[in-house]
Amino acid sequence: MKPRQVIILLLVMALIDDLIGLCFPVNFQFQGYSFVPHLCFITLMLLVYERVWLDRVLISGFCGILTDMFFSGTLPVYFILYASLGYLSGIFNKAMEDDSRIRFFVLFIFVLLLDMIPFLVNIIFQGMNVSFTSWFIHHELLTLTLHGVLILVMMYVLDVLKRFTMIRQHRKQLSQRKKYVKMKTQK
Amino acid sequence: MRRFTRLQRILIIAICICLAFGCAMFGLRQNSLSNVGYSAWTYIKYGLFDYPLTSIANAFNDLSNLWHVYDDNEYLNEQLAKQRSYQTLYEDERNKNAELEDLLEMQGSLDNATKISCTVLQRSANSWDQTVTISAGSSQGVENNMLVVTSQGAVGLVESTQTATSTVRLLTSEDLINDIAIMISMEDGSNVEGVLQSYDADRNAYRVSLFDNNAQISTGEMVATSGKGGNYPSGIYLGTVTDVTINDDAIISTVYVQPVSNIQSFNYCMVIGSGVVGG
Repeated sequence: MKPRQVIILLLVMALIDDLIGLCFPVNFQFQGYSFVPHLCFITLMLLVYERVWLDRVLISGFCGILTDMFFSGTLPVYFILYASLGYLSGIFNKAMEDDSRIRFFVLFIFVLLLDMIPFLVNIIFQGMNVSFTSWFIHHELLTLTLHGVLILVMMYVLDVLKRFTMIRQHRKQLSQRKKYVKMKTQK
Repeated sequence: MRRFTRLQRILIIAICICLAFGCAMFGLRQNSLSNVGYSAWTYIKYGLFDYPLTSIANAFNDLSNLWHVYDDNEYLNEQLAKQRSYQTLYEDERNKNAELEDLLEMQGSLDNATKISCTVLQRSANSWDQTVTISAGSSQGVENNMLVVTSQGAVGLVESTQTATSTVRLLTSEDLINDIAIMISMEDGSNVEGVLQSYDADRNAYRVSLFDNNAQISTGEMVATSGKGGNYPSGIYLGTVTDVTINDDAIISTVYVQPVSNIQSFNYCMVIGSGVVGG
C-alpha cells in the first residue's frame, strides 16, 4: 500500500475510534460494561509488523504521539506504548506472516497490553483504587470480545487491500513490459 | 554513520516537532500565568475532531428524531381536525340551548294555550321556504291550522297531521293555507286589526292588509296574532312593520312585515293551539 493510502486508512480508523468513544462513552465509574475502541492501533500493527525495526518504531511512535496529542491528551503514554508494541510486533514477524492464527493471537495480546499497562501504571503511580477484577470485567471483557471480531475483520480487509494493490502493480508491470516489447519490435 | 531512509527522516523530524510542540504546550499548561497554549490546543482539537464528530452524531440524532416528529405531526393534525369538529359541535349545541331556553320562557307565558314542543325532522332544500316536518303529530294533540312558533315568534301553520309527525306550511310559503288574523298594538292602547295574506319574496316581508285605513302605522311597530278566526291564541309575535303603502282606492292600507329572524333556520319549535290538549 502507498504511504498516502496508509495515512488515510489510519486517520479514518482513528476517527472511527473517536466516534465510537463519543457515542458510547467509557464508564469510568465501573458501573456498567464499556468498550474502548483500538481500531487505529490494530490497523497500525497489521501494517507495520512486516517492516524493519526502525520503521516500525518510528511509524508506531508517530501514530502514538498523534493519538496522545489529538485524541487522548496523555502525552507521552501512547507514544511510548505504540512505539514499544510496534517494535515487539516485529519479533514475531516470521510466525505472524506464516500463520494468521498467531497474527490474531499476538494482536489480541497487544490490545490487552495496551489497556492493561496504563491501568497498572495508574494503580502503581496514581494510586487508583479499583480492583483488577472489576476493571477486567467492566472495561476489558467487552473490549477484548469485540476486538477479537474486529481483528479478524481488519485482517481480512487489509489482506484484500494488499491483494488489490498487488494485482494492480502486476497489471501495471505487464502493461509496461508490453509497451517496452512493442517499442523494441518497432525499432 | 548509518543513513536513514527518506521515510525515516521525515518521521524523525515529525516526531521531534510533535514532541517539542507537545512539551511546549505541556509547559504552558503548567504555567499558571498563561493558559494560552492549552486554550489554543483545545480549540484546534475541538475544531478538527470534536466538532465534526459531534456534528455527525447530532445529524444522526436529528434524523432519528425526524421520525418522532413525523409521528407527532400526524397526531397533532388529527387532534387539530377533531378540535375543529368539537368547536362547531360546541357552537351548534350552544345555539340549540339558547333556542330551547327562549322556547321555555315563551311556554311559561302562555298559560291557557295548547303547547306541544317538538323538533324539526325534515326541511327539504327544494322547499326550504315552503314546508317543514316536525316531530309531533295527532297523537300528541296537534291539529290542522295550529300555529307553529320558534323562540322568536310565529313561523308557520300546521297543514296536515300524521300520527307522530306533522307538516307545517311556513308563513314564507307562496301557498299559505289560511289567512292569519293579526293585530298591531298602538301606543294609545288601541289595536289595529288586519289579515296576513301572503309573503312577498322580493321585499322579504309578509303582506298584511289592515281593516282600518285611517290607522297611523309606522315602521318598527310589532305585529302579533289577534286570535280571531284561527286555532291559536292571540299575542303571538309575527314580525315588525318595515313598510306601509296605501292602495289606489285608499280604502285599506297594505303593511309589510318582516318575519322573525330565525325563520330560515330553526331546530326546535312549539305548536300552539287555542285550547288545552285533551280538554
